[in-house]
Amino acid sequence: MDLDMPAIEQPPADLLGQRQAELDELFATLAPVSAAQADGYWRGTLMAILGFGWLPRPLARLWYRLLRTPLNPWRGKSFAQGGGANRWFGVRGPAFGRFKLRETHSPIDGQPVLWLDYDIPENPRFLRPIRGEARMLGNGLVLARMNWQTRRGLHRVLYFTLTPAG
Amino acid sequence: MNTDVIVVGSGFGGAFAAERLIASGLRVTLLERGPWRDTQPMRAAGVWPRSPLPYGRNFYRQVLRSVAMPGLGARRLRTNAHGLFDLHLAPALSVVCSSGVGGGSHVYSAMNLRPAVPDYWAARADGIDPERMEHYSAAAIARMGARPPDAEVPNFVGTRLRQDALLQAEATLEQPAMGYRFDGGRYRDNSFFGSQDGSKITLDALILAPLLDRGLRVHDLHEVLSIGRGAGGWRVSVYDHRSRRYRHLTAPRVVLAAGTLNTLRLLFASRAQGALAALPALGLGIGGNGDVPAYWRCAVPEADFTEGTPCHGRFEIRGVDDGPNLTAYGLNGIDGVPMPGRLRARLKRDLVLVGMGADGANGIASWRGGRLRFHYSDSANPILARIYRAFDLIGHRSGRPVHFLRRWPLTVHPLGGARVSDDPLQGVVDGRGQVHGLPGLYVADAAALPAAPGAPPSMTIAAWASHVADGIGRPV
Ligand SMILES: Cc1cc2nc3c(=O)[nH]c(=O)nc-3n(C[C@H](O)[C@H](O)[C@H](O)COP(=O)(O)OP(=O)(O)OC[C@H]3O[C@@H](n4cnc5c(N)ncnc54)[C@H](O)[C@@H]3O)c2cc1C
Repeated sequence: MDLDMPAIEQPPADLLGQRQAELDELFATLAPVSAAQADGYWRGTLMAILGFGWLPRPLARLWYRLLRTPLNPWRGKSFAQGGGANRWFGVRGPAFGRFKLRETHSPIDGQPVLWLDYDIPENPRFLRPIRGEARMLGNGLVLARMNWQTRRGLHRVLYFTLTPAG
Repeated sequence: MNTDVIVVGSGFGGAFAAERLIASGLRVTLLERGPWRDTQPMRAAGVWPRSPLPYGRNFYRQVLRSVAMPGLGARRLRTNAHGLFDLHLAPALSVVCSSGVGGGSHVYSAMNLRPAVPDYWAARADGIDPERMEHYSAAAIARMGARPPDAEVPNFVGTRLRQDALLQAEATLEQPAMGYRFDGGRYRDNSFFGSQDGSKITLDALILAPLLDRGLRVHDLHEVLSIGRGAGGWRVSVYDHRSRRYRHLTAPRVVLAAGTLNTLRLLFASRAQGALAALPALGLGIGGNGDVPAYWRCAVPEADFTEGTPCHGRFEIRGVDDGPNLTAYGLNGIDGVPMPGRLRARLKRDLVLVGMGADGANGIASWRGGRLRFHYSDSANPILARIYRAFDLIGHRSGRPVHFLRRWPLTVHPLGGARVSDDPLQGVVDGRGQVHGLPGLYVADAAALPAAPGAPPSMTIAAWASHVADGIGRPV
């Protein structure tokens, strides 16, 4: 991170109103995050959740702002030494839903990406099909998406941003 | 998207830059937040779809695009994406600018001038050659086909003030060249609300529509929201008001020419998202070109000042030596504004006066809570007080009130904030218009101007944009 630049506290408001297809287009333009850049604790914000694409944009923005409040126990992610975990009830709260990291190419758009693979023995079976991808939207602003692996392929579930938790 | 350069904005910066970039053989995509305007030249060019200028029953729906003012927070009140004017109202400095393919050329008063400040471009930054800049200015003025009005043009001050006891416009006073169709043009409805019949020369008709045949891609109603570095160069995030969807485009180079107000909004917003660099000089050097607009209730019997060129010309106060630069305008265009006939008849007899001059361009723009703020002090810019005194004198001697916003500067010529300088602590762009430390990102509009030109700035902006575009087209 460039320390000369101001810290980002919130993701840009217009991201929260965007549909999955629009964020796919944005995601395809971005450069990857390296595992080293990702090290640390990150505050998460959900958006473009599968099944909510019908919401008018202003309502979608409101809904995802609501999901940033303590009503939603998911607070973000932490990354360290080639792996990471989801954080609940606080950015440094309990870890549940772990993943290992790999710098690779996205099977979706073929561009470099930081790959979050949940298919590891520590995870309960129902979490193992999750595959995350992360890229850099700005200095200290990561755009990531969560996909669901089935036999027929990868299906987009949602997008989220990560900002440093300080 | 296969494009070499994305240009943001289609006013004097964007249009002149696009023309030179296309001439260098580059593939250019131009993004403009407003629509193509429905004027006779655009109809003839077959450009579609078009949006009406504010006129008649369309007036109130089409006149305003957006307003930013204290109390609205980060949100701007957007009334209509097809609207013409964008207002930024604030006690320190209010700004009026416009929206639509062709940018400010629709609403401007058609004065095409070089800087009044001598040696304006001298010693500004490496890579700026004043002689070359003079060549660009001359080329831009010639491109606009600009020349001063003849004596026969209705309400031209050179003729009208010959016998005037208070004001004068002697032949020795240089009159502004105007980009206007003097042969065959109409002398009505050609000013602040646009020129439907094309009497005023606008950039959509003169430059942009003809460039479509040479490969220029123009996406109208595409509002750029942010820019940032991406995998393949620059990413530009856009809201398409027509299809109501977000788009994300990429190109190796991006030229910002959204006008001072909006180029600064874009730079600040993108920096706040961590998408640029620290840009320590962002916001420095804001100026209003010393603008002071006034309304003179001169009520000249039998006059119809709405006739004529958008600006009636430059004048002086008799007996005042070395006064500020003063120009006069009728309320040209009010024929298309729905209002009671008696009120219109009265307004036709009054004049708008504008004083301007080189202010210190010493204001600062900042970004707080997602909102652009200006800090600009009229006491730090004595040119404003000189103009206030000139207006007071006109009011006093004529016995007719001159209304203006004393201590509440309002400008139609905002400039600076991303100014040119070799020193990244003093300026945002270098002598080639490239943002310090961000290769491939350029500023080609009034935001990059290093100082107030003291005269209407469109041709100074066009010259700067030509210089920036030539630098991109012919890299060192
Ligand atoms: C009433 C009035 C009279 C004037 N008279 C004169 C005159 O006689 N002579 C003179 O020299 N100057 C005059 N000016 C000033 C002149 O119009 C401006 O200095 C000039 O237009 C500025 O050029 P620009 O390229 O910097 O910006 P603009 O011409 O304002 O062009 C910027 C363009 O970018 C577009 N844009 C903005 N934000 C975005 C975005 N986010 N995404 C995409 N597009 C965007 C805008 O819609 C606009 O079309 C006048 C101005 C006004 C308002």
